[in-house]
Amino acid sequence: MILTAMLGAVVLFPPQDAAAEKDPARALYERAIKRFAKAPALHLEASLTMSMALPGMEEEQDLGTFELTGQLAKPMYGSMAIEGKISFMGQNQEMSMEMVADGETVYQLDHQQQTAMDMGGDWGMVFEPPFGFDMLAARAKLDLPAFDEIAFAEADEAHAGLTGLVLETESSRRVIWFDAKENLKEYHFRSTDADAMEPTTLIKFRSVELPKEVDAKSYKRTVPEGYETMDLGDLGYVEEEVVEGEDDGVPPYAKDLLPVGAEAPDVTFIGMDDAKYTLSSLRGKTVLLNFWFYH
Amino acid sequence: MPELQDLWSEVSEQRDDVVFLCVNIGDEKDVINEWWEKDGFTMAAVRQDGSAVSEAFGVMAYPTNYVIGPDGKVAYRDVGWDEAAVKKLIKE
Repeated sequence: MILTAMLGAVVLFPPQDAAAEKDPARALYERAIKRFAKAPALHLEASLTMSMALPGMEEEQDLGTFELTGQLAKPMYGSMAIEGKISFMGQNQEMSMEMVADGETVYQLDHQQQTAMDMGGDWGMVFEPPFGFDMLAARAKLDLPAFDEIAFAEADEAHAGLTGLVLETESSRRVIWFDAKENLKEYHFRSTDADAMEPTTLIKFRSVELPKEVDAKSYKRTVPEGYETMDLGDLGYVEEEVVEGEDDGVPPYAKDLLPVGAEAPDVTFIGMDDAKYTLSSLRGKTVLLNFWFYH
Repeated sequence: MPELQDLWSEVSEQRDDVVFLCVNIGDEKDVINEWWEKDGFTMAAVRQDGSAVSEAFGVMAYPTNYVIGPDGKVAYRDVGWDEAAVKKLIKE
C-alpha cells in the first residue's frame, strides 16, 4: 500500500474539507497550503486503476483503483507539478484525470495504454508534461531554468512528518520537502551520465519518502518492501549541492528579490503602444510594480 | 488583479503622484489587451523584453509586488498580494 500513499503524495492533496482531525500530516498539509495561499488553486480529481510490475516480481501486481481528489497549492511559478500523463512503473494502466482551475476544466485525460517499463528499481510513478496545459507553455515563455520555478510541498495522510517530491529532468534531480519547522528544503542532484536517462526535456515528478531525520549525506531513495532493490549507482547520480531553506523563513522563490532600501534598477518597459519607458522617468512618483502573467 | 484595480481606482482619484504598472511576462499583447478590456482595468499594463525586468528585480514567483518610492528606492516587496501592506505604503 505504500504506492497508494505515494500516489497521494505526488498527485493529490487530501480534500480540504475532509479529515479535519488533528493529525500531523494534516497540520503540515494545512501549513503548506497556507504558505502558497496566494497562488491560484488547482483542483484535481482522478480515478486511477493501476497494476505494476517491477524488476524481481514474477507477476504483475494489481494495485486496484483509487479515487482521489485534491487541491494543488502551487501553480505560482508558471509551472505546474501535475500536468501530464502518468507513466507508471509497470505495464497496464488505465487512468482518468481531470484538472479544474477556476471552475473550468483545463485538462482531461481518459486513457488506457501499455507503457514501457520505466527505468530503475524506483517505485512510484512519473509525470511527464506537457499535455498542452497552458501553464507549461508559460514556463517555456518565461525561459526559466527547468527547476528553479518549481516549489511544491505536500503531506499526505499516510506519511505524517516528512514527505517530499522529486523533480527530475534527464540530467538533474531535485528533492523538495518541508521539514518539521516548515522550512522548505531541497537537495539538488545532477546526473553524472545524462545518457543514463531517456533524452527528454520533460520534467519528471516522483514521490519520495524521506526519513524523519534526513541529511544530504544520508539521503537515498527507498524501494518498497518485497521488491528488488537496485543499486542507486545505476542511475548515475551524485550529490551536487545541498540547498537548505533559510531559518528566517525566506523561501527560495523570494531570495533574489531586492532588499527594501535598495536602489531600483533602471529597467525599460514596453508599453502597450510598443513605446519604451524607463523606470527612472517616473522618479518622484510612488510606483507599484505588479509582476504578473496570464498564461 | 481585480483587487489591484480596485486599489488603483481608489488611489488614482486621490493622488497623481502614484503609478501602478502591471509588468507582464510572457503573454501576447492581444491577451493582455483582451483581459484589460474585458475587466475594464484602467491601471497601466506594460511588457518587458524577455524577462529582463523580472530578472533585474529578482522575481521568480508571480505575482510579486514592489513599491518603489519617489526616491527610486525599494520601499516594499513581497511575493503574493498583501493588500493591507501595499495600501499602507501608498497612502503614506
